[in-house]
Formats: sequence, structure tokens, C-alpha cells
Amino acid sequence: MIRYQNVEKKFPLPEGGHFSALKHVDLSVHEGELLSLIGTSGCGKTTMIRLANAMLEPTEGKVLVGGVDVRECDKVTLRRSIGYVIQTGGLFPHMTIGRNIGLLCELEKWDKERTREQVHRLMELVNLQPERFIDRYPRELSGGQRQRVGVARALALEPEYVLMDEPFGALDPITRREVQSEFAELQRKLSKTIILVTHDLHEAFRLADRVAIMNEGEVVAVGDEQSILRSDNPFVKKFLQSFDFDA
Amino acid sequence: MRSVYLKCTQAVFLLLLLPSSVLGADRAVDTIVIASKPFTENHLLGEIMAQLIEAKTDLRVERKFNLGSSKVLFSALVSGEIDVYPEYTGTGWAIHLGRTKRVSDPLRAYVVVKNQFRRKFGVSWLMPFGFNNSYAIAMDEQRAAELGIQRISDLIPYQDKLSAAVSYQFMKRDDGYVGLSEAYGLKIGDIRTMDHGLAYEAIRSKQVDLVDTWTTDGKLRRFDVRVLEDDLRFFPPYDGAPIVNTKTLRKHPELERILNKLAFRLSDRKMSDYNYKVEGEGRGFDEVAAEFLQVEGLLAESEAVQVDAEQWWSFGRSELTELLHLTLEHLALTAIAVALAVVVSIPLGILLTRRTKLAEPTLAAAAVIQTIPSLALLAFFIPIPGLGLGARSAILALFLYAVLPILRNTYTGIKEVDADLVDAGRGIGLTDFQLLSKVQLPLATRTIVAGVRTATVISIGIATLAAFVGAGGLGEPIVAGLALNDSRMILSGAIPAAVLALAADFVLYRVEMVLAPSGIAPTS
Repeated sequence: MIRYQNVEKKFPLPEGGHFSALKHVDLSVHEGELLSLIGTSGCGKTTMIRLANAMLEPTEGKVLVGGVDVRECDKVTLRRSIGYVIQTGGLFPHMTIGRNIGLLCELEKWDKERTREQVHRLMELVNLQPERFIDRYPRELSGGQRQRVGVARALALEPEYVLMDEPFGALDPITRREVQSEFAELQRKLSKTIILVTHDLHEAFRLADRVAIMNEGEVVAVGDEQSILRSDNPFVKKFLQSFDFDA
Repeated sequence: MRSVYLKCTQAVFLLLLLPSSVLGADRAVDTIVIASKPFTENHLLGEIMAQLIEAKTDLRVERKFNLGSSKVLFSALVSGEIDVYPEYTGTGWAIHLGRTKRVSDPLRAYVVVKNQFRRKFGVSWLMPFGFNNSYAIAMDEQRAAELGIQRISDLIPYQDKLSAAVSYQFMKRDDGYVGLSEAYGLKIGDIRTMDHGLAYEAIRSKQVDLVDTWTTDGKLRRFDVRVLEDDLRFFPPYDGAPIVNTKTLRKHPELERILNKLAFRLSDRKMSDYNYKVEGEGRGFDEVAAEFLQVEGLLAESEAVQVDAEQWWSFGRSELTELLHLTLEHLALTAIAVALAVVVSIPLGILLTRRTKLAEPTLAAAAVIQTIPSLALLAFFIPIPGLGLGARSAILALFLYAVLPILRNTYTGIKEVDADLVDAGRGIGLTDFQLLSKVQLPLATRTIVAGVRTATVISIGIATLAAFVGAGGLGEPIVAGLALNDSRMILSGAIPAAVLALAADFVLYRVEMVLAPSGIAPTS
């Protein structure tokens, strides 16, 4: 599981002083659970996931992944044990789809055959026909296809944990629903421990086991759809209204 | 075809070199146009004549100084576009009369040119100024004293141990080193060609023992050198005298009497003293000319010598092998410099992306180097031990110019890789080195190769200046052609250099396309 213990994160400001992105956050993501972090822009949700794979270090408190403080881990090893998907896909444009997905296997010195099998398996898992797409370059793919490749790459080393930063944010509504459904199906099969950052409450409720709503660096509510909808927190109520949920 | 082409180039040069009013020719009858060649002594003599005429007559004087080659100037004189300019007997003999047989008697030279010019060209030689601005060999005073050398013949026993830096004209001319070597049986062990100013710098810093010079050269006086006696009288006489279009003399007969006041007023020594007043002391031509007229009490004056060449035209036709040799030399200089720049700049550029605080100052420093005039940079290297004259200085200069484009493109190429990709790469667990080698460098390849391409094209251009420090290359005919005002010779170096630059640009463009990773942009 991934645990945030009393985490505070401050960023220095260019004009002096600092900006508190996170203020005393306590949060646990359980094994096999998909937790969605949601909130307005600048609420600290991206900071949360970047703390989990040591792209950032907390100013105060601890982040534990599988019970170990991430500051004590080797960063490269830690990151290879955590899948990472970002909004734009982050696919390397000069590498084929096959190479993008298999890059980490290659760097982990898997033999060629094993890498090839893994790439094929993952492509099938995300509904991309290997023989059709494996030798294509990212710019030859649609946005939805690219995002599937991004998910496949995150799973290359079969990590227990996956961090997803608005993975479907850049897709058109129809494609987004389609990819979301596929992803929900995938998660049912794989049961990874996932933190999914989004600003779309419908997406959060569709995909997540639990939802954590953030506001100005704090987690203001955590729970499943029902408990969120029943929340008394004024920010949560306002937030729900903005998505046309009655509160 | 060739003659048409030649006429065109000559016409272009004439247009460039002659102020339009000379070509316009619509001038008042009572105006005398005085011209000069583009060097100190000739210019000074022109000014002296101008002031003298202004003082002694009511004629208006128009000054057209520093015009192109002897050939251009002379044809302007014959056609009446100009009236007077200072000429040298040796030039009249070899260039305008085209005599190939050497003359050693100054008087005979003067008499022949005087008679022939009047008959053939309608041009009159007035009385000589009194100096003979001939080629000469100058030696470092200390070294000459050590070896007890007074005359050119004295050099022969030490010839293998001596080094010389000579001008291009001198090296190639029959009345320069080629003939000198034959006449004296002299073969200097280490002789290189370079721009005259740089040769002087070389002897001043004791990098060479000998330089060629002129007997009236003002710059020579600044250095501790000894002018060696031409004991076999090998160098032809170059006695200076005013030459005038005969029609002008008929119209204004008083000019002859007035200009002849300058006859024999200037010895070699005096001429070089006056040259020095302009070149060494930085005084104005008009001021120095006025001083001379004052001191001589005549409001009158004299003049000097200059050398020219026509056999140099043969160079333009130059054997293909010579061209090939120069081209290869040129390519080698460029290739070594650019290769060194690649080896230094790419790692440095990568380092700068990791130490961004250093980036600004480093790029600024490289940019400053770029602004140093190439010739100044070359001159700066000459006195430095281990660099000196030749290829090393040239390569170092080219290297310094090639650093910036490669450094800057490496730095920006890597910096411009999409931040999301870098973030994704780091986030999925690439090490810094893997991020660099698998992502940043491949994506920056095109930009980096474009930098190498720019550096190469720049270097091919600048390498033409390598000839100034004796490093050879296609600059040799350009530099020599400039010195001789021979457009054909200039083009015989400039055209191949331009072709080389275009070819390199094209080849490196192809390289860029081949090295550019697939999948990024359409490959055209």
C-alpha cells in the first residue's frame, strides 16, 4: 500500500517565501485499490503522486510505498516498481510503439524473446493489435491509441503500483468513455494498487474504489461514492454541485 | 567565352573600384584628376603632386586616390579619365610594356619606358622622384650581426638554418624569390608565404629571420632589421616618377615644369621616412605632404615604386593539380578544426544542460570569440610559442569559431526536448544517463548536426584567411589576387571555396536526414 503520513510540501517562490502545495496530508491507498484524487487545479493532487515515485521529496512527513519510506529507496529501482502514466502519454516520438512499451524490459536486460512476448501480451491487454501497431511511431496513432500505449508501458515490468496523472484528460468525450471502460475492465483483471489523478468527478466515480477530494493542499473528504455524496463539507458540496450532483 | 567573362569581371571590378565620377568623365577642362594606387607611398606622392599643383596653378585638382591595380589605373590614364598618377619604371617595363627580359640598369629602364610610353600610349614620364622602391630582403638585426651578414650572397652558407616569411607576390614572381633563388643560387631552408603585415609581425617577434620588403617601406623603420645589399643587382629598378596623359600636358604645359620640381627630391631613405610619418605615426596624408613641400621649400614633391604582375594570370588557369592540392589543404584545415570542435562542444553542451548556471556565461564567452575579427585572432596567435605561423594557428582559430554553433545547438537541442518527455522518462525509471542517451540526444540529433553544418560552412569561409598565416588552402590565390588586384586569381580561389561550402552544406544536410531519428518529423 501507499501511505502518506502527515505530509507537507512547500515550494520556494521566486519572489521569496514559499507556497504550501500540501498541508498535513494523511492518506492510505490499500492493496489492489484504485483511489482517485480529485480537486480543482492547483489543489496539490499532482504533487501527491509525484511524491510517491520520488519525483518530489516531502518537506515534512513521510511517504511509504509497500511500507518503506521512499526517501530510503534507490530512486530508479523505486520508479521501475511503480507504473507511471501522464496526460500527454509521454511516449518517446523517436521510438516505435513496441520499443516504447519494451524499453524498460530492455533496460532491465530481459532477453529479446521475453521482451517481445511481454510487449505482445501488453498490447493485447490494452486492445492494440500487435502486428498492426508494433512498428508504428506514436505520431501515427490516435490520441486514444497513444493513451493505451502509455498504460501498456506503465505495466511493462508488472509493477504492483501505478500512478496515473489525468491519463484520459486529453481525449475527446467519446474516446474517453471507451478507454475508461477498457481500463475499468483491465483493473478488474489486474487489481493493481493505483492512484488516479483527475479533475472529472464522473470519471472518478466510474473507475475508483474510493475518491479523495482535495482543496488547497488538504484532503477534505475520502470515501466511496455514497459517502462522498453524503458529505457535509462545504467545499465538497460546492464541488459536487459543479458536476450537477445534488448535495 | 573566356574573354567575355574576363571583360565582365574586369568591368565589375572597375565599377567597384573607381568612384563613379571617374567613369562619368563629364568634368571641366581646367580640372586635373590625380590618382594613386592603393598603398601609402603612392597615395602620399599623389597628395604631394596635388598640393603642388594647387599651389602653383589655378587649376582645380580632383583626387582619385587608392584606385585598383596598375592595370586599371593605367587604362584610366590612357583613356583620359585621369590625368596623372605616380608610376614605377619596373612596373612600366614588366606590366605595361609586357617585357619579360629583366632589366637591371635603372637609367636604361627609365629611358625605355619613357620613349615607349609616349609612342605607344600617349603617356609622358616626367622626371623621377629620386628613389628606387625595389624589392629587398630584410634580416633581423641581431641575427644578421651574429652571422655577419651584410649582403644577400652572405646568406648562402646559412641558408638551411634560416627561416623566411614572404608575401605571396614575392614568392611566386620571377623578379621575386623564384628569380632571386636562381640568380644567387640561394635556397632558404624554411620559407613560407603570408600577408605582409603578418610577416612583419613574425620578424618582430623573431619567429623568422628574413622578410621581403621594399626599400622605401615605412613600416620597416619600426623594426630592428637590416636591409641586405642586393650585391648581384638582381632586383629590377622601380624608380618612381609622375606619369601624365600627353593630351593633358599639351593643354596645360606648365604641369611638366611644376611637377619636375619634385625631381630627385626623395631618396630611398627620405621616402621611407615620409612613408613612416603616415604609417608609423598615423598622421594624415595631407599634413605629411604639406610638411614635405614646406621642408623642401618648393611646395613640390616626389614618389615611389610598386610591383605588379601579369604572369600571375597564369595562376587562374592554374593546373588542376594545384587547385586540387589547395582544396584538399582547405578541407583538411576545416575538417580537423570542426572535428575538434565537435569533440569539445557536444560534451560541453551536454554538461551545460546539467549545470544551467554555467550555461549563460559559457555561451556568452563563445559568442564573444565569434565577434573577434578572424584576422585579428590569427595575428594574435602568431607570437604564441607552439602556434606561430602555419596550420596550428589557423586550426585553432577555426576551432574557436566552430565551437559556438555546435555548443549552442547541443545545448538548445537538449533543452528543447519536450519537458513532458523528460518527466515521463525520469518517472518510469530511466537513469540520467539513459535519459540522455535514449531520449534527449536522439531527439536533439537534428539540431546538433545542424550546428555542425553551420560550423562547417562558416569554417570553410574563414579558412580562406588561413593563407594569411601561411597555412595554405584556397585562400592562397585569393590573398595573392587581392594583393595584385587580379580578379581572375581571386576567383580561382573564391569560386572553389564557395563550391566547397555549398557541397559541405548539402552533404551535411543528407547526414542530418540520415541521423535524424525516424518517427519525428516528415523527412524532407
